[in-house]
Amino acid sequence: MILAALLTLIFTIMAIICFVSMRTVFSKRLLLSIYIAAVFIVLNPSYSTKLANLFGVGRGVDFVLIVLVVALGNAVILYIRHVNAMQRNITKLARHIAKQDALDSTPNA
Amino acid sequence: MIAPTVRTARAIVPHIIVVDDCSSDATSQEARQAGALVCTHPINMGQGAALQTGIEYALLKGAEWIVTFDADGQHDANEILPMLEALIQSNAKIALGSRFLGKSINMPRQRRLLLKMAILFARLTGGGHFSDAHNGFRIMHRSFAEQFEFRQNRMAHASEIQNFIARNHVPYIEFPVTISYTEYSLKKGQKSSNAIRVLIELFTDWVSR
Repeated sequence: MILAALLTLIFTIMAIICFVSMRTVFSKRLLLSIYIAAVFIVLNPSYSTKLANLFGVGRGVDFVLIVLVVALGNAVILYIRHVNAMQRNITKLARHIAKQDALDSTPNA
Repeated sequence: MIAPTVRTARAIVPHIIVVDDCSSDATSQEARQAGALVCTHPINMGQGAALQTGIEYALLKGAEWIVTFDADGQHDANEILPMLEALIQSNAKIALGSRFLGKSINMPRQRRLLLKMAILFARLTGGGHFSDAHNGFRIMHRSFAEQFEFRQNRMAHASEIQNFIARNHVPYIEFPVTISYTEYSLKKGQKSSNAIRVLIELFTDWVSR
């Protein structure tokens, strides 16, 4: 009971910090709803079990775990792609500078 | 070390391009003084990126044949013209130097083992059947350079070009070359542990397709 209260407190504090430090309204709302959902599930474990049973999964935790693995796997792959695309852009920029400088410094070779 | 390499190469081929991958020493100046055209990267990006910059610059300057050649003295400039001759005779688009068709001098045993494994890995995953891996001595025709781009900035570029040749059935030849390992080149060159990094880069590239 006391640990559940502690967890709720931690989530609430994180929610407040996010709320204060983020500017975009959408991110705030999204993150806030995640924290509210997390607090709700922590305080009412029976609800998550019922939800999990709906999907044919035994425990609420198992259900969350599966969803989490899928979501994280997805996110990681998307981020790898994003970072690679950024690196390619940086490379193109740097290459353009290198070639331009070389052309500028050789007088009609 | 760059100056002697540039000078001996210039005796064979008049147009030398050196790509300075954001070196902290005086490479750019020394290369210029030795008579090379120099492209300097504003940030360090790796050998693959440097090769691509050099190739694009060579194309800009109107080159018909482009030789990629290591700057650390491991390659022998006297093998450039015979390789070019063989390439022209064969009507292929690219010549790949092979130390296992040719010879290597003072190759550390660990390096030989690692290379053999790399060659095997390339045969299993790349679709081609090459006798060497990670040999920077190549000659390509302009038309090959126009279709191919080194997207891998760091050491995985060597696998990239071989896989491209295999998958697109590009006509190629292999040519025996001599690789000389010196204390300088071993110190400057890649450590064997970079092999893991190459694997990871190939994986993340595959994920990004």
